[in-house]
Amino acid sequence: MAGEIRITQDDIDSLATKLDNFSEALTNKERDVMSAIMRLAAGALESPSNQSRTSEMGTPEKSPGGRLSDGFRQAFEHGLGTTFRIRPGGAISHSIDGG
Amino acid sequence: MKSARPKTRSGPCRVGLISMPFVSCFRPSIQLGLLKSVAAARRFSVHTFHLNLDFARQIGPGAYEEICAVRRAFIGDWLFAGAAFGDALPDRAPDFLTEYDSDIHAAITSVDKPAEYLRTVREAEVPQFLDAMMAELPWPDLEVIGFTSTFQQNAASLALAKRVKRAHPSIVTVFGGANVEGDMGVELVRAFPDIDYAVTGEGDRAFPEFLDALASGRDPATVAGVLCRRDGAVHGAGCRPAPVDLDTLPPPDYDEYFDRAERLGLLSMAPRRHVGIPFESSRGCWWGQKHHCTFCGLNGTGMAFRAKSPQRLRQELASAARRYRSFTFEAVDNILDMAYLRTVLPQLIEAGTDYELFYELKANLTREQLRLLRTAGVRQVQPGIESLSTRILRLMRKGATAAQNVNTLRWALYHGITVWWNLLYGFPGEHREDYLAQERLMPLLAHLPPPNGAYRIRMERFSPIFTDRAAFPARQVRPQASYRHIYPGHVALDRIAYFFDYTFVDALPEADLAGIRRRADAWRESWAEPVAPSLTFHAAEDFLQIEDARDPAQPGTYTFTGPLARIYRFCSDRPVTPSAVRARLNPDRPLDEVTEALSGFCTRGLMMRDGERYLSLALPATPGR
Repeated sequence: MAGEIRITQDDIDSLATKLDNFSEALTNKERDVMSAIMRLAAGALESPSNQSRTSEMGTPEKSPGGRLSDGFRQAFEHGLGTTFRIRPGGAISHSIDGG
Repeated sequence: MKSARPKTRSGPCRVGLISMPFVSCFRPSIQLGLLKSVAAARRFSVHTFHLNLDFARQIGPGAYEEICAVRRAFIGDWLFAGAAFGDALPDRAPDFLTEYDSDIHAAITSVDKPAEYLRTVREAEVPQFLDAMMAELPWPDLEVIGFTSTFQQNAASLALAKRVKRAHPSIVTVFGGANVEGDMGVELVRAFPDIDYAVTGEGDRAFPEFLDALASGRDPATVAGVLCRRDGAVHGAGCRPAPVDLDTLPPPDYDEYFDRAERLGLLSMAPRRHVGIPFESSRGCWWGQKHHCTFCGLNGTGMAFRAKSPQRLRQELASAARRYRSFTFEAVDNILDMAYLRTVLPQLIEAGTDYELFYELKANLTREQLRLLRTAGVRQVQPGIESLSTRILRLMRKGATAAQNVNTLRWALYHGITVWWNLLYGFPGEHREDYLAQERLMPLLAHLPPPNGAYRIRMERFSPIFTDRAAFPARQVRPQASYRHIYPGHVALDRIAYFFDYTFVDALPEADLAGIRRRADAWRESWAEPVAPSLTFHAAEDFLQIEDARDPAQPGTYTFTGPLARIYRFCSDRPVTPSAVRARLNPDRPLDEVTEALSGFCTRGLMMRDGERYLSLALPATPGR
């Protein structure tokens, strides 16, 4: 469709690399100006008319259900991964906490 | 001072190029190697003498290298000052050892009583070494001897030059190197009559022209870059040689360094050598040409950036690997030429070379760039990180942000590149909050390679904080105190010094910086433990677990699904704004909800915020992608 923006991860990576290189030539003030322009551009891309892009890993997010920050509840547990501890003879003794 | 003009001569010169203590004995001098090649190309007979190897062997390479690494006290110069200046030197030995007692004990750990050891070295080992070198080197066969002098090589070079001139007055002495740049070279020539000439600036063209002039009977002082005493004044100051095209230079010749190191038993004979071969792919600093970092004086008056062509550099590395049987190379460049990311490095990957390279570079590298560097063989980098505060980095004119610095540390670790970096403080305009914020951030970065230490910036000659007093008002600017213990009274210390003591009008006191020093120490200590701190994420589609073992005694695991898992991964490659996250995630999400989620990661120490950008701190579990 005319005017539709289709963006891939490669496009973003390629542009980001070029901007990183380009930013080395800028003064702090020039960099601020570029950041402001990028914010405006990001706002334009986020407008309802440009919502045909895909989200990370190519799958659009389903319609929001609950606030994002709800996902932090009970996100933390003490300890790390666990595995079987196997004695030299091959018998499983018990599982242990990897932490 | 009376005019002292050595006789000119006709016929080819026999030249000796000398590297004296203190400079590391673990690698050859690129200055000597290169000047030997350029002079040999003009058919001069040149030999190089890395006498620093002899001294390292004499006093022990461990202590020798520790002395080389001392930052504040010029211990190496102090050790040779007695031999260099004799009766002209006030006996300040007790003062020096007392004044720098803490530096000495911190730096020299390979001997039991470092102060007594240093006194013995100064009073016994140094004279013995100089006697041995006077007996061993073929002085009657030499017509010109050149000393390279950088940082702590002045006093030892002057000590040997003095003895040579006494024993062989016809030998012409010439000094070169970073210590001869600008006013420092002028003062060396003015103050020390044992120096006949000095070459200031780039010597690749000036030195062979100087030899040509000597050989043909012309006045060497007419060569651009050559200084000498004439009628009580220093002649030639302010006349620098033009920058050279690096592709026109021959490769450095290190044969005599390896011969000497093996003959002295410092390096055993072996089919392959694990020795870092110095190479030069560029000169100057492309960043400094645009924005001179406020504290950096390294490029003297020669900031103009030039790089060797990719083909030339590849040929030089290949030929050096064959010639010296080493695959380890250390770039002496101040900054990596970014064009090499598109040329030399992909070409090395294509060629399948197994080089192990060291480079200094700018810190705002992307994940992809660091992957490229590692694949091409870059194993160690010094990215000039210097701070974890964007505000302080702006004061430094570093052209990088704190988040970019952290990201460089992350992806360098991920790709297996060793990073050497320091934390610096003491910048005009800094605030206490700048350091409190860094103190809060540093424990979150415990899984990343720690800084070598936290240090107050030194005022270096040629740096903006030294040259631009209007922009950087400083009080009590004076040559670093250690110079007082080294040079005789007739030397103008303000002209010979490279480092200066100073007080910035609005810099923070040491007490306000104790916290950041403690954090840096704790960070280093945690990496010395058998198990280094870690922060790792394991990802599936829409599922993420972050294992947090930054404090190995209290490990934990975070589990995220759906959008939070995606947000975390999206903020992993580079620092991003909430707007970008929202655009990527789902434009229907309110921006404040996205920002709240990002803040949630920050609250748990899993991300950092730098201005408007957020960066995930954990690294992927699968390395090297």
